[in-house]
Amino acid sequence: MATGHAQRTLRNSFGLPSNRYQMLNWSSKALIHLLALAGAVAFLIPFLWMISTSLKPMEKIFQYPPQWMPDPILWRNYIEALTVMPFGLYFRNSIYVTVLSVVGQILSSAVVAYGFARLRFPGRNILFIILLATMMLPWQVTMIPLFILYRSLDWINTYYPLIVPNFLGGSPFFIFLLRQFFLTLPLELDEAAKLDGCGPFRILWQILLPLAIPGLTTVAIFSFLWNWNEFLWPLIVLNDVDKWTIPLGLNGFRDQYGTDWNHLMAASFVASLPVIIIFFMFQRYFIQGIATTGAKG
Amino acid sequence: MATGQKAQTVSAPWSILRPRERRHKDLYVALLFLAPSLLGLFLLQVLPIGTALVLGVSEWNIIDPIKFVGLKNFVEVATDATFYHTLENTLYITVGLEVLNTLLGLCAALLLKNAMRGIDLYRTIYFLPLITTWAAVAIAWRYMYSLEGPINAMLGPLGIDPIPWLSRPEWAMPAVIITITWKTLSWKTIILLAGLQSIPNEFYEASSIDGASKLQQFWKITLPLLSPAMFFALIIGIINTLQIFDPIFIMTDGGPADSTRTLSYYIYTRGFQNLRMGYAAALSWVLFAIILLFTLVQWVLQKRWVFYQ
Repeated sequence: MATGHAQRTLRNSFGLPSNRYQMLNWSSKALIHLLALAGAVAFLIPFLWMISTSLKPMEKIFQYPPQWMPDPILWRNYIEALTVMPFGLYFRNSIYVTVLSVVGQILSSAVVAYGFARLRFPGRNILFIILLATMMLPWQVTMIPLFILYRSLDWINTYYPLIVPNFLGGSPFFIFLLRQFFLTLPLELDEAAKLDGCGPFRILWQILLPLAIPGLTTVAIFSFLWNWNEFLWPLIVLNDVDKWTIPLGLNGFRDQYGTDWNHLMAASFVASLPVIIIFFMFQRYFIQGIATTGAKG
Repeated sequence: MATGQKAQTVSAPWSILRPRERRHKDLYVALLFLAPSLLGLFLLQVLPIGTALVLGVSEWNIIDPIKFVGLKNFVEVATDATFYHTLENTLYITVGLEVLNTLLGLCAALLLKNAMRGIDLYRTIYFLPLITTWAAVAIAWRYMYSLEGPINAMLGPLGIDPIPWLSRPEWAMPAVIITITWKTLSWKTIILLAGLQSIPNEFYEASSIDGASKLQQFWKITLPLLSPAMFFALIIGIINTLQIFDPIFIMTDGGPADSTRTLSYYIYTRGFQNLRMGYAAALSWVLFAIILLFTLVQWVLQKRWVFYQ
């Protein structure tokens, strides 16, 4: 080892390339790229297949050997898929539920997070721990009682069970995330504002929130993804076909036209587009959010 | 001057109050800020938990009056063959998924840690499945798993006969696990990647001066220092997997022959299809106990393998 090291420095001092090491370096880099590429292919193939199949005529879907490029390209599959079931309506329903839920989760989790980060009151830490501990409770335990609660309010088959809970504190994940964010902002800001006569609501609204935009963006992204993709809860509370959200609509489509693959793929692709676009725009926040809180995707 | 005076009158209640009154005032303000959460905690957690406890010892089909039956539901769970079968399936998924996700997630995190050209593009692609709606993903994989579908078409040239992925009990579960791995792998990867990036570079530099090989560095530095992140990802990952529902419902409907029916799907069936709310609530408490047990066991076992700096 010692001689090898000496040889290397000796050669380097003469300006000679130490071929063996450069080769090694080069080949390990190539290997890393190759592996990364293989991973990317594995992750992409289902999407590519989805798009390719969505444009094929029915009789070519199971062609062997499989063809990547659809021939002919049937754009009208998309029109047919989106009209055979009222997907326009499902989109509108999903957007309605999602936008209101996101607003509710941002507002309520910001207010609560501010309370935990900045206000002093007895039992603060215990309450915070209880809040985080509720994440341990499986959704299946509260799901049935909540269904009963909303049923007694006559809220079944309305959007209230999907939206209203988001105004009541949102998710512990978001409260945790924003609390951590507020804690990083200097306390002097609050104190200066207080001296100028700001009450706590104005401190939050005019001083902390503008500074917490990265944190709020993270909350908004997750909230959007979760609410848009939510399946089980809407499945339980929405009965009317007209009330369905996008995931329910897709599932209903599969239920009725189980092997109509080209149209199913077209609808699936269109249904995924909003989240894919949002992800492309804000992926940095998304990845940071998971890395710091372990929120599920 | 005028604005100064106005500000003072506004701030007066805040700053001039005596300490005790101020503490009261603080409490009111805090209550106001925490109101959404307190209300949510009560209405969406405490009340439902209480209801679930009552339901667990009752029989109720939503229509007839609720009837107290004591521990009958739990006794029934203990002798319910379907329960054991779904429990077995749930454990199968959980173990399979954790093993695959941890191994592959570690590989992916190690790959992504290397700052190379095109890394941003790779990362975006890796995370695409995670954000995509389960409904769309499950439908796409249903197609890919069909007998003449793309996966069997790709396996054909390798000399593998078409596999009846979703139509045979022995294949359905591996198929489901592969799909869930594909979808959730990047969640594991993000957490492990964050763990990798928090390992100080000095450790690697110092050890390579001492002549440690890459493999030695991996076993002696990377793995021990990554163990807290692995532990965290394991705990949360298992809690999530034990509750898995969407892919099962959309991809296999629990079949064929109940081979992929999980506990959470069974709870849904009993509660919302058979309208046996009491029995479903009892099952949900059993699920909670299992989650608690898993978490506790891991908590105890962490002393053996998790290394905190």
